[in-house]
Amino acid sequence: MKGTILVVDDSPTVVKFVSFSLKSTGLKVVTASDGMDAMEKISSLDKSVDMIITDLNMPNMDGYELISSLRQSEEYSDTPIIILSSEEDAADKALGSEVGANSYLTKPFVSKVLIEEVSKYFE
Amino acid sequence: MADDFALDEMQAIVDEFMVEADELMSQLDADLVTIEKTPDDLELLNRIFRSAHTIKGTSGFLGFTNLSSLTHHMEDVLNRLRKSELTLSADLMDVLLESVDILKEMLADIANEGHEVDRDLTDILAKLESVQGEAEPPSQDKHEDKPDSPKAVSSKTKKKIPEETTEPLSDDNAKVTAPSQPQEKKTDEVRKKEFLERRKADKTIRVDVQRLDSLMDMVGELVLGRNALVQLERKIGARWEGEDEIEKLNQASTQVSFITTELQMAVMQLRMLPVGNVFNKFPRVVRDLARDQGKKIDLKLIGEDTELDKTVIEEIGDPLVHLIRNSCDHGIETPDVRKELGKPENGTIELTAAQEGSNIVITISDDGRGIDVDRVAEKAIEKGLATTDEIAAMSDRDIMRFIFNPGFSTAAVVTDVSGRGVGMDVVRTNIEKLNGTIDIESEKNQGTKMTIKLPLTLAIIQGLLVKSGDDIFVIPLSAVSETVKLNPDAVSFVNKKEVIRLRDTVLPVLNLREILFTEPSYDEQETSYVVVVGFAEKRLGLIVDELLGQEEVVIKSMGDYLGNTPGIAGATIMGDGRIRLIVDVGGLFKLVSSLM
Repeated sequence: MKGTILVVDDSPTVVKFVSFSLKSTGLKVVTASDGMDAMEKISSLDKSVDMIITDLNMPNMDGYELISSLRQSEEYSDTPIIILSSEEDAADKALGSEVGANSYLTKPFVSKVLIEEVSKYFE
Repeated sequence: MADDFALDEMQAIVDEFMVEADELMSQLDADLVTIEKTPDDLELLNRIFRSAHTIKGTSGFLGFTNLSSLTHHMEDVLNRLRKSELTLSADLMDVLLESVDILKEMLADIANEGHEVDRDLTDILAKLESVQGEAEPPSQDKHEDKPDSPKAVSSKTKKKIPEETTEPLSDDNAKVTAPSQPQEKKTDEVRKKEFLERRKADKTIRVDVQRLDSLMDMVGELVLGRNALVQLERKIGARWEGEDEIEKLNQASTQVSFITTELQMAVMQLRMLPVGNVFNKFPRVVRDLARDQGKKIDLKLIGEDTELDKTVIEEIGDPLVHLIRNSCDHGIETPDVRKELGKPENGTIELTAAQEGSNIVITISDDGRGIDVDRVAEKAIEKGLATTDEIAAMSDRDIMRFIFNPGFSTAAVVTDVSGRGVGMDVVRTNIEKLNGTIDIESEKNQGTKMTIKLPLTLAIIQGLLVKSGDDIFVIPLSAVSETVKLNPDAVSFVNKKEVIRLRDTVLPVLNLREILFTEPSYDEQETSYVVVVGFAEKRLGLIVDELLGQEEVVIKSMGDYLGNTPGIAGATIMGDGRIRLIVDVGGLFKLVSSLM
């Protein structure tokens, strides 16, 4: 697979886990520690990223806010976004797709599941 | 899961997890103790919840199922707390703190073994369940109105009257106040402030300590090279004075010398950590001890930002815990006793840190019962540490210093009379290992104050160069309290020991030559000097032939073979390339006690 993915999570462990998984498939990874950081990373890149994987519950700017503001921009209006969250609550899932996420992964997950989900968007 | 990753990648993830978990745990510890005092602080409660939540989430990724299960249960309790479905009681706090302790042990297991070690969690999980009372698990009916146990308060009522407090439990340590309604959205200002703080944190990087150590070693070598260069430049300069090149050499060596000093400072700075890293665990220690013993103790921390070398930070923890424990156990009285004495019911322990020159001074003071000097004197005589006459000639402070004596502090009975005692010699030994000193001040019923003085760094020390016979030794300046010229007539004998009178005290003296068996010089010196070393109850005058000056020296280990030479701490290479031995003052005292 080819492309760049932005991984956003306030837990460095999760970021590392996801990055390593994705890198093994040949994807490039950019990381951010929260929504605010993600917005900054995105604006500093020359090229837009091909996919965003984000946590929901984060300090400074949470995942919902990040996704809503991304969806409002032209550049990211239809970039695939996958939500990572440990909230087992169905409400989260609904809210996530309401603000514009494409799919949902419940933490924790194994590397294989993540790669399968991601590869759906990289044909 | 590990199959998905290369071994080193998996290790990198686990390492990352350990760092993250460690940070979260110390935060959790501090936050839990704080929340007990301010149960209304919802912001804090949310942060506590998030810490547990994050650990749960990440440990799941790595397949640490026990860790995940325990944090999950904690999360349940915390979630109900922040939703005001449970009220913070001292008992609930005990269970949460116990969970944190177990978490720490589990994390330590992972750090040591590389994987999770099986632990029986039934007990703690049951406790976490039982503090939630008959209440249903929160996930099922968090929105329902339920007047569960008497301790729990219905969530909807709470939402309307956020400031209402429930009846306090019998335990004095915990004020039971219902948390107010969650403020889901932070104000822009708060968010901006947090963001800026985060930006600042982003500018820091983590570096392996080993790299810093090797950097420190290299700088040490550089200091030696610099010293050699300066000395050489001086000699050549004297021989070829006035030559153009000499002027340039002088400039170059001054430049190198200056930069070396700057570099050395900068590297030392890199190894510095705020002493708060150690202080942070004390609120918990004091809280637990106070609760166990039915005492009320306020702990004040001052100067947590003061920075100390990492090695010193690592070693100072245990002695400080010991001293704090002593203050709680034997210093601070129970509330009734304090009331009778006309003191405030809450005892106060104050822990301060401050930099003084190239030293850090840490003090631990309490307003407890203090030390009974007369009883210490009695004990000292009983133990044969001093005669009645000797005691009579001593100041109160000198008598108190007997508590640092090994023979004294093992006497169990001392604990309850002196308010201090057990293990004080161990504390002193540990501090001396760090080239530090400890002293005591105490007044009966007023309290006790311990003062610890530590060098900022261990690798490079200020040394006093002394000549004894034909040899030159370096005495760490931190251990020297003063130097005096010796008047040979002033030496007298007390109990066959050589002593001199130094102002109002009697000071035992020994010739360094006798201790370290150096060869006597052929041109016997007329005058000699006394270097007064040590502190507190242990002071000793070392007779040397000459004082040569003060120099910054880099301590080098003597290696395995010579490493344990009594009285010698290590060696250093001087500017002229010669090796000089560094005197180990702590070791010297041991050596001397066998001679005296």
